[in-house]
Order: sequence, then C-alpha cells, then structure tokens
Amino acid sequence: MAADHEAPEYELIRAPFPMVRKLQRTLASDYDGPAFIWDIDKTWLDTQISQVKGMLKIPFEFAVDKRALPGTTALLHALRGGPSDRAHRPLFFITASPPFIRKAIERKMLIDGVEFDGITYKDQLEVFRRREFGSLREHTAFKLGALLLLAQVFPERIKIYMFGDDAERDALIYCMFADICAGRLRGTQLVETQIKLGVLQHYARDVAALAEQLPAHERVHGVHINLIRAPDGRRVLGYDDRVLGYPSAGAVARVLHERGLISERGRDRVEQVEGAGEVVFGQAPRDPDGWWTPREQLA
Amino acid sequence: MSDTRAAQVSVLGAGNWGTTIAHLIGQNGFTVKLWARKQELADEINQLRRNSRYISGLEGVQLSANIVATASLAEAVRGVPLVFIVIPSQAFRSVCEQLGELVEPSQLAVHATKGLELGTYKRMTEIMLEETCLRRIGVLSGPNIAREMIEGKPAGTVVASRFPRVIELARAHLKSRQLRVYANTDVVGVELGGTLKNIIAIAAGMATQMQLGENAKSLLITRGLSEVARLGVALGADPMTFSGLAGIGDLMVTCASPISRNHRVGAALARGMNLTEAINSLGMVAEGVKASKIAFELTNQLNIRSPLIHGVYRVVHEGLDPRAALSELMDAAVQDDIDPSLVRAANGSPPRGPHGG
Amino acid sequence: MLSADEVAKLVSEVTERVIMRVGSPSDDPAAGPPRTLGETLDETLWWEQERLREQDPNDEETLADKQFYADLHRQLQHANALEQRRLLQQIVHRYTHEIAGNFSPTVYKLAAKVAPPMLSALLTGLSPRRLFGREAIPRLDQHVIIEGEVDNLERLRERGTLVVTPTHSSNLDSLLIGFAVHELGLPPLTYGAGLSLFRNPIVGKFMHNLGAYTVDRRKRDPLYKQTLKAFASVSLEFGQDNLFFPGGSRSRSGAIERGLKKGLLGCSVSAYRNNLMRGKPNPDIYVVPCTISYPLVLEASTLIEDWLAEVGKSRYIIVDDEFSRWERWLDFLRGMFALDLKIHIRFGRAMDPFGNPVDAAGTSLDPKGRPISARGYFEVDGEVVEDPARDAEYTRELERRILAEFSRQNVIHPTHVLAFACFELLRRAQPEFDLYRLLSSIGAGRSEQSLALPEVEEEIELLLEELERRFAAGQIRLSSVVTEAITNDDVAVLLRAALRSFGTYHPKPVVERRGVRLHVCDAKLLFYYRNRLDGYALRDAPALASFTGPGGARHV
Repeated sequence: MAADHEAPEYELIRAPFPMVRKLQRTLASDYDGPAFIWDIDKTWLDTQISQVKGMLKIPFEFAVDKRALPGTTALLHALRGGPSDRAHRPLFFITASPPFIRKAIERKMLIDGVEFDGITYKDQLEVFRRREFGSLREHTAFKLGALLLLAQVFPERIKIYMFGDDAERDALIYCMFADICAGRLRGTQLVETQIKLGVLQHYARDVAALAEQLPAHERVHGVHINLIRAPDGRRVLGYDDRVLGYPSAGAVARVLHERGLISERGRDRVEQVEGAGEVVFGQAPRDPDGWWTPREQLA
Repeated sequence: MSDTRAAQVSVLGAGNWGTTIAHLIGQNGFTVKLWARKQELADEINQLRRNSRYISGLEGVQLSANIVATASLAEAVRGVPLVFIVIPSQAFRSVCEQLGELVEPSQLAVHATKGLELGTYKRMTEIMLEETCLRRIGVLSGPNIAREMIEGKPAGTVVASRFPRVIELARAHLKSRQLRVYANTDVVGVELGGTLKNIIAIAAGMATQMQLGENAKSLLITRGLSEVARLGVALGADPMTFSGLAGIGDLMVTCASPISRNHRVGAALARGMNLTEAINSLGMVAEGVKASKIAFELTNQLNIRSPLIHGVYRVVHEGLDPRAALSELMDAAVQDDIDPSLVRAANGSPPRGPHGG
Repeated sequence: MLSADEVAKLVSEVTERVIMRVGSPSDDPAAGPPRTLGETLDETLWWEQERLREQDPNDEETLADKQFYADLHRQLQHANALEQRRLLQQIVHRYTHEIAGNFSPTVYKLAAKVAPPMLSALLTGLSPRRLFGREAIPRLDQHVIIEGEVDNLERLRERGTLVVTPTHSSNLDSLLIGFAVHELGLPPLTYGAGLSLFRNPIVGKFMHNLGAYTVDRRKRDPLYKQTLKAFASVSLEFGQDNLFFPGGSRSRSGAIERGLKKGLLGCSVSAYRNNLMRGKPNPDIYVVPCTISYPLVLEASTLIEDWLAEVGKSRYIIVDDEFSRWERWLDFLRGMFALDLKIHIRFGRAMDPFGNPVDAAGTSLDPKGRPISARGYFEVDGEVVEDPARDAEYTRELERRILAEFSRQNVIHPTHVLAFACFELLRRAQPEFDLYRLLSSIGAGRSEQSLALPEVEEEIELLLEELERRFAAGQIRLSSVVTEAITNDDVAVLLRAALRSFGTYHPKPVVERRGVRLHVCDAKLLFYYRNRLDGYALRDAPALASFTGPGGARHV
C-alpha cells in the first residue's frame, strides 16, 4: 500500500480493487461492540455520484450546498453517541465517490459534525486509466474489497451494522459480505457470483483471495436499506428479516432505539427532523444454513 | 449645642480613637461634629466634655469645647465637606450602608480604621466605594496611641489618598504643633501596613513574655516587616510605604508598647492561655487575631513565603505551642536580608494584586 | 453631524487649546516640568526629523514633511517669542488638519446607508449556487447580533454625548460598530483610526467617510499626542458622539483588555468638566462600554504572533495583515455565513464619566442605585474646579469599571471553550514547561499533540459547569450554542460547532478531530482563542499575566 504524496493520511490501495482510504482509529482487539458501516450517496447525502453528471457537479459545489437526506445527520450523531450519547462508537464510510471530491465530502462531514473513523473512496481515475470502463459504474468488487479490508483490521468479535440504499445493489453486496465473513461464501462460488453480477474476472479472483485470509465468524448483525427508489420496500422483500428497508431516518431510528443501539434522545432528535412511515422487513424465510444472500443470486 | 458656627468637618465614631481625632481637630479651633451611636454618650460629651466609656483615667483632660456630639448620623454628615470615619472594622460596612443614604459626591472622607473585612479581605476604602457614592476618599494611619495624643504629646501620622484635595483638607484640620501630618498616595500600602503589623505585634508580645531578649525581638520585627511588605506588594502596595510611618513606624510603637491589645494577646498566649482565655482576659478582640487568619489565607492563595505570619496563625488559631513555633522559625532556611521581590518592586512598578488598584 | 464650517471651527479650537497648554503644567504628572515654547518646538523638530529619517525618502508626503520641517528649522534659528508662537501655531494647525482629514458629511451619510447592503451583496458572490438559486441572500444582520442595553441609547444621546468604548480584537470592529449604530437608528460616531487603515486597499478610501479621523502612531512627538487628545476632547464638547477603542490597539493575546489608554479615556472626564464650567446645555457625557465577540477572528494569526514577539520585546506596528488581503476577507466572511456563525455586539450599561451607572434619563446612580448629582465630584465649595490629579484618578476608576463591564459582557463562543479545555489539558500534562516551550512542543511538524476525545469532553463538561455558575452570577455571557450545550447537557453540540469553526477559516485547522482523538494543529491560535476566557480563574488555570511576568504584552 503506497501513500498519497499530497495527503499522506490517505493510503493508495490497488488490490483487490483500486481505492483510496483514510483510517483514523484502531479498535482494541477485545472490542466486541457494534461498528457502523455507511454508504454516502443516497444513504446520507442527496447526491448523484453514480451519474457522471452528478459526479462532475460535486467539486464545484460548496460543501454547505450539499444536502443531507432529512434526519440522516442526526441518525449518524445518534449512532456515534450510542445509548449513552458519549460512546463514540466506530463509524466507517465506504463510497463509490472518486477521491478527487474527498475535500468536499469531508468538509461536509466537518460542517455537519459527522464523526467518522475511516472512509474509503473508489479510485475511479485508476479504473479509467486501466480502460476498464465497465467497472466505473459497477461497484460490487470495490465494495466487497473495501469491506474485507476493514474486516481484516477489525477485532474478531465486532458486531457490524450496515447502512445502504435501494438505488443500487447495496442490500445484495452487504448480504454477500455477511456470508463471506461467516465462511459460507468463498472460493469459486464467490468468484462466479461476482462475475454473474458483472465483475471483471481478475477483480473477482482478488476479492476471493482476500476473503480466504479472513477467519470465518458471523460478523454482520444487521443490514439497513434507505428506500429511496421504491418507498414501498419492494426491493428488500426478497431478503429475510435481517434486512430492513426504511422510508425515513426516523423510522429506522425507532427500531435502532428498540434494539438498544441509540439513546432515546438520539431517536427523538432524528424523529424531529423526519419520522414518517414504518420500516419494512425482508419477507423471505430464513435460510436454515444461515445464508443472508438469496439463493437465486448465487452462482 | 450652643455653638452656632457651621461645622466643616465631622468624625463618625466616638470610641477611643474617634474621640481623640475630634478632640485634636477641636483644639485646632475648628468646630467638629462627633457622631456617637448612643445618645447618652453624646450627651456626656456635650455636657461634661468627657467620654468615660472609652477615655478614662485622664482626670485633668477636658475634651475640646469645639466638639458638637450627636447621635444622629444624618445630622453629623449632611452638608459637611470632610468626614472622618473611625468605626471598628467589623461595624464598618453597616455604618457605610447608612452613610450611603446621606452623603453626596461633593463630600470628602478619610477613614482611620485598621483592619480588613473578614471573609472578603476587603480594605475599608473598598467598602466605602461599594456602599456609598464617595470617591474622594483616603485613610489616616500611623503610630498613634490615642492616650498619648490626648495628653498632648507630639506625634506624626499619615494621610493617604489618590486625591491631593483630600490630603490637603485633612491636613488642614489635623496638623498642629503637636501633630505632624505626612502625605502618601499609596492608599493600599497604608491600609495594609496598619492592619498587618498587628500580627507581628502578637509575635512581639510572645517574645517579650518568653523573655527572649531585645535581639530576638528586633529579629522578629524586621523579618516580620519584610513579610508584611511582601504580602502588601502582592496586593498592590508600594514597598516604600512600609518603611514609613504607617509601616515600620506603626509597627515599632505597637511592638514596643506593652499596653497594645495585640501585644497583650501574644503575651497571654505565651503564658499558656488558649485564644478564648486570652481574649477573655483582655475583654476585647485584638485586630491581629483576625488579621493573622486573613493574612494566612492570602499568603497561601498568593503563594507567598511567610513563616512568621504562618507561625503566629498556628499559635493563635491552631493552638501550637509558641516555643515550638519559635524553634521552627529558627530552623527555617535563611534567605536574603532584603527580599529580591521587594528590590524589584522598589525599582519598578509594583505588580497589581487582585485587590490592588 | 458636523458641517464643513464646524470642522473648521473644530480645527481652530483644537489649535487654540493646544497652544494655550504649552508652557503650563501638563495633565499628566509623568510628563515632568512644563516645557517652554522653544523647548516644545525643539522637541517636535527632533521627533519629527527622527521619524522622517526612517520613512521612504521618495514618498511624496515624506518629502513635503521634510520641506516643512527644514523651513521651520531655518525660521526657528532667530525667532523671537512672538514668532515662536506663530511657528507653533503652524505645526499644531498642520497636525490638526491631518487628523481631521477630508471629512465630508455628505459622503459619510451616503456611505453609512450603502455600506451594509454592499457588504451583503459582496457575500452573495461567494456561492454560485446561492447567487443563481432561489435561496435567500445571506444578510449581515443575521450574523451580527446586537444586544444588551441598547434601549436607552437613543434617549441618552438626546440628553448628552455618547462615548462608545468597545473591546478591540479586529479591524472589522469599527465597521461592525458602524453597522450596529446604523441598525439602532443612531447617527454615526466619530472615531480615530490608525493610519494603516487609511492605507488599507479594501477600506482605506471609505475611512474618512465612515467618520474616522487619522491617528498616526508613528508620530511620537508629545505635541502631536496633545493635539490628538485635544481633538477628541473638543469633538466631544462639540457634542459629537465618539467611538474609541480604549484598549488602544487590537488585543494581541486574544484576551479582553486588562488595561486601558487613560489619555483618551480622560477626555470624557475633561469634556464633562469643561461643559459644566462653560455652562453648556446638555453637558452630560455617557460612556457606553461594549464587547465585540467573534467566534473566529480575521487577524488572529498575525495578532498572536505579534503578542509572542512583543513579550519577547520586539515591538512593531502591524501595517500588513489579514485585514488588507482580499482572500482572507472572503475566507472569513464565507466561513461566517456558511457556518452560520454569529458575532455578538453587546452593549453594557451606560456610565457617567466617573464610571457610575446612569438610568434611562441619564441620572447617575451610586453603587446601590440611588440617584446622585455627579457634578459634585468636580466641586470645591460648590464650584466646579479644575484639578488634573483628581481627574486622573477619576479616569483610573472609570477604567476599572469599564474593564469590569467588559468582563461581564464578554460573550463566550464554542471555539473559546474548546481551546481553553485543550490548552488546559496540554498545560497540565507538562507542568514544568513555560509558555514558549509549551507552545513550541505542540503542533504539526513537531511531535503533534493529540488528546483523547472523551478526556476533552470531560474537561469541557467541568468547564461548562463553572461557566454556568458564572453566567448565573452575571459575570460572563454565553453564546447560544454554549447555552444550548449547558441546558441540554450536550457537550457534542458544542464540540461540533467549535471543530467546524476551527476547521474552516484558518489556513491550518486549529484543532482537528481524527477518529476519537483531537489533534492540535496550531498551538498559537489555540492559545489565542483560549485567552478570551483568561482572567476568570476557571479550572484553576494560571492567568495570562503569570505566563509572561512583569513588562509583558501590551494588554497584560
């Protein structure tokens, strides 16, 4: 892993996928509490990074002009604070945004007071340089790679809670990651499943190789999907009830509070901003072998 | 009360020292109002020219006929350009509170009260500023044993004020062939000198009682003065003030005179009495008892080395055996004769203390 | 407002007064024995030639000045007393003209109207989206909070003359006070501004028209200082409401003022006395202390550098700082508007020239709130008399009371609280270090110091408890975010606000969060912002003065 010369706090990572990462916290090896992993585009910020037009717009905007989805900033504060409001629970971002907009994004985090411990950007420029244009808009290998690299440095007993949206394949990728961690999805099946989703073969192999190094443990404890495209939750129904979709930050905050992850005050502050609707749980029956990923998605 | 000349000066407080000041002013030919808390005392002064409660045993002496005593504070204060306030420190604020209703910005005032306010550590001029509209104020202090002055013996005293007019007017009323009145602008130093010396007087009383000899007494007095000056400078005083009448002058008379209350408290403690017994034997609280507590707290707060003050404090308030205190003092590390902080302060401007100004 | 005619009258009155003073004992006891006419002229000649030696020899003004003093020198050689008097008159007249400048009341009125909207318009250029979008244009009045005892000002102004005396942290201060006065519907204030402001590329052209007269700090000639003081006095006696920064110059340390310039302050006492002696109608002078509290200070970096240099005894006048650089202005204003920062202008209780509070009707009150006749302070046997020593003492007390009011009206922002907490933790960790060693041991490039977030939160919590008590006792003021943090017991909201501010305007973040640690990236600025809470004995922290010892910085 090389370092970015201009900004030494960022690591340049080339395998299993080109990415740029900043990590600012090392968790104690006996830490067995929760860690939160968030997507940015459409999960926190109301941006359109997945579209080239949207991507180009971002650096020309001022940080203050970017909009957070209603209530999500308060939700991030609540998760960070935990039940005591002071817990400083681990919080990491993985975003397909290119590193050249990192200034704008991190500035927005500073302005909104979003405390994070690490952030991984997809190195789109490198993908472009490699002329792998298909991988510009396909994020599976990048996200799995970034997640695995985090899991590698996490303590083994950590409980991971993941947040994404239904605009892309976040639910599927998070479920695959859960199965990879537990040792269910590895080797050829992992390679083939990725290829089926459009991942280039060499990236799929590198991801699988990285996965092989990870001791098998259940790590993922929940997947939360912001219903931005289909507010009725249609796109999460095919998963089991460990995956939930939420129409508003307040709706998921109520569930998180019930589950003891955020304080009452944290929940109230999210609801004050936006609390409409109720969460939708996945409808598929739980797989007897523990699989998160629906069988039909697997190769 | 037959006197029809309008008084231009008044003295508030008909105790030992207040009556003496009124008498001195009266002897200079000025009509002077004297406020006594009790009507009977005012009547006694007006009719018999005597103050038997506070000034006794001076058979031949008659108080000046120019004194007009009154028990009404308003009558004493209203329309008088210059007011002397001679009220014990513990009653000072409450009198100033009443005074606040009566005085006007055009009036001048000089107090002659030694001591600091318990709890707040405030100087008397600070209390005057807090309770009244008076601004042109000052302090009278020095080696002045009331009895000697009533007897007509010569003496010197200091009037300190930041306002030349206050000094001028006070001096005009007080000065005589018997009394020299010196001026100073260091109000803080003069007020502190008059207060803190009482602590050293207690130590001197102990030394006398223990028959330590004149060398030891001199050692106590000079080292004590150096401690007093060090604390004074930290509180905003000019170090030179402590070498004047209100400093060393007042200290000498207090330590030399076995009739001084503080001296007597020290002697009583050295005889093995505890504080309550010592106070009871005296019939009144000596100012040094209070001052040692205040100075002890202040020196701790300001982190000022003062072994002598601390020794007196521990004997007076913590029941330490005076002999033990003395041996501690003699064993302590020896410092420079003249404290470097005083040399610095004397050469430059004194640092401002929290109560200075 | 003065007409051109009145300005001329003012100039001649000042000249006359200064001339009259020459040869008579000075107000200032430190000035020594009175100078003769000849001595005064020699002194001026010496100081001015000394000053000119250091100036750019090709500068037009310098050339003109040199010519003037060369002529003066020649004429002085064989001048009799009468001619000496005429020469002196020439000098004072020249000084006064220079001080008064090309003040034009008409242009001034216009500028006062146009400046605030112009500033707002300028700011809309900052964000293209805001400019083209439907969003509201940022408005200055939403970012400058004018509060405190403002209700009586209008009435007091009608009954007498106001002297507004604010704390001084930034060159923006005079502009902000101008804005506040305008917002309050009061007529503009007259004030003295340093020459460097008149040469400032951004505001220089407007200065005269904002009511400013010139103060040239390079001129050390006592006669010049006398002229300046007379100018302030006379303009007060002419009934001109004045603004002056009693601390003299911007606080270098970041702390609120610890001492004031008594020369100018004394003008309010002497103007009141002169008004009474001359039987003027509406003779009252009201001193209005006021604090200007910024969450971020435009020139913070330059000021604290100067303070540290000053404590190290290298004294210089800052001519070029953030205030003369457009991009710093833009950064600053952008930060202010983007982060929704509030600058508080807080007016304290109006006082008479002796420091007594006055009521709505302008009557002086004693410490217990009883009405008194302040005129009595000047009286001897019922007559108002002159007494410089007495008035100097009144000025000292006025100073003390203004300082106490500053301390009470100081508005604390989250940046101050965070800086204080971090500095305290760092200082306690290295008790044996002096200030310089401590500051040089912190910051990027060296072994960067970091603090655990929970530790800082705990320190802030304890600090907030003390601040709450002091606030309840009326000893200090708190900005809305600090109050929110206290009432909701929510340190996080304060921390977020402070980190946001610290990460925005200054080239390097003062403090930066990384993971669960706070990194101090600029120790000097941390110290600067911490100093705003100095002097309250919070958390048993040593006072600034104890860091520097005697003969420290200007404001200590």
